[in-house]
Amino acid sequence: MEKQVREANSVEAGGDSGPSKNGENHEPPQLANLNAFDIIGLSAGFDLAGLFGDVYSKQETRFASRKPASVIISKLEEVSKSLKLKIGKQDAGLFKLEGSNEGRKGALSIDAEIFQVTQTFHLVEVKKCNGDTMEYQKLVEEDLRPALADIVLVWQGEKEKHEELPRVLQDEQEEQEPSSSSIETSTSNMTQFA
Amino acid sequence: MGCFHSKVAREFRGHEDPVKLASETAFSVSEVEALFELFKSISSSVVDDGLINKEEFQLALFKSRKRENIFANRIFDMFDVKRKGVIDFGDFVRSLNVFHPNASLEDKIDFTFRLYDMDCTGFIERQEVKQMLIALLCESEMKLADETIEIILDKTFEDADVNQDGKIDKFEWSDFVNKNPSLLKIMTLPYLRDITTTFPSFVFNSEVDEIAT
Repeated sequence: MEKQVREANSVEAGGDSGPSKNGENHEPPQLANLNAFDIIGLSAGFDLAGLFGDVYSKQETRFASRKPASVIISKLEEVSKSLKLKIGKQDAGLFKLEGSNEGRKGALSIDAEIFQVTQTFHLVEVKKCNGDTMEYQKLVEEDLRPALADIVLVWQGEKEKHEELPRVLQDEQEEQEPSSSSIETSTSNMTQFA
Repeated sequence: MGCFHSKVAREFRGHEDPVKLASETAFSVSEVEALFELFKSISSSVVDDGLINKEEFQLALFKSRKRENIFANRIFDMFDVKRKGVIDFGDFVRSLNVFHPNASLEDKIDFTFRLYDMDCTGFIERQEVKQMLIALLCESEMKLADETIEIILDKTFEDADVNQDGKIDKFEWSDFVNKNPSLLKIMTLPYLRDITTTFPSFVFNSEVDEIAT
């Protein structure tokens, strides 16, 4: 997701902005804000890649987090270090993680971009920039996801952890009833978060 | 010559002529043929009738016949150009055309406007956007407080609804998208350019290309 208009609004309280290439400031990052349509556009229903079969495998994914941006950034730095990836800040909220090994299609390079929905609700987009797609997917599945677990509320396409039904039951339910349109769920069904 | 024509006729009998479709879209004739291979596989997955019904569309998109999604429904309705409840090959190609990297910005903006104008009033109303936002949050099993949802809507409408009448018209939408081009991200499928490699049609590629080009 690239935002042309970066709004210099609500500055995150506390924390630093992570490694900055020009090193000139350590202010909290001015993140791009998501509007309602950015969020709506995330729906799987708009992702027509599925029509084309499994051929076009996922090169990007997203997760939601209830942590402030500074915590997310620190975590990304920590994880990069442990995975021996070099992390650099490209722009407000945009970080590049680079591997040193020349894989089959060049060195693996991943973008992690943080978007703000509210000060305590962020969306992070993880996307392959360069390198072999399978290598990227392996890294995300086997290394990134477990390492980021404590800051992740939910990954795109998955259900929130604390709501998980035993897997078998879930599958059975899906088989038995075509779930009715989710639009009927009113906000009163949702737990209220501040 | 006679041999070639009868091959074409046989392969595409009952469907729109690929040469005509290519002339009206950004696809080349061989790309239309490749799309036909794809179309054949989707349209025969539940009922083998040469048409894509809702279940087949859902199956292709989600690998599940029964999975309902209001946004996928909306896309299906827009692909179902003639409002017959099924998508024929011509509908399929013409609709995918809007997602081609070379399709015009105007077409993509127009498509998204109609997409989000769920009740087809000619305006995208605040209530509609609220419903879609809630639907997305449900789909992703994410929860936000009512208040937060209202704040997101306020901010969005502040930006998009210039005349502050509580709804977004075509012109406001166009301006809004031009300021926020990432909103059109869903409207481009870059791999439509590689379609002939992914879905090779073995029938008569080279011959048709020579004639059509």
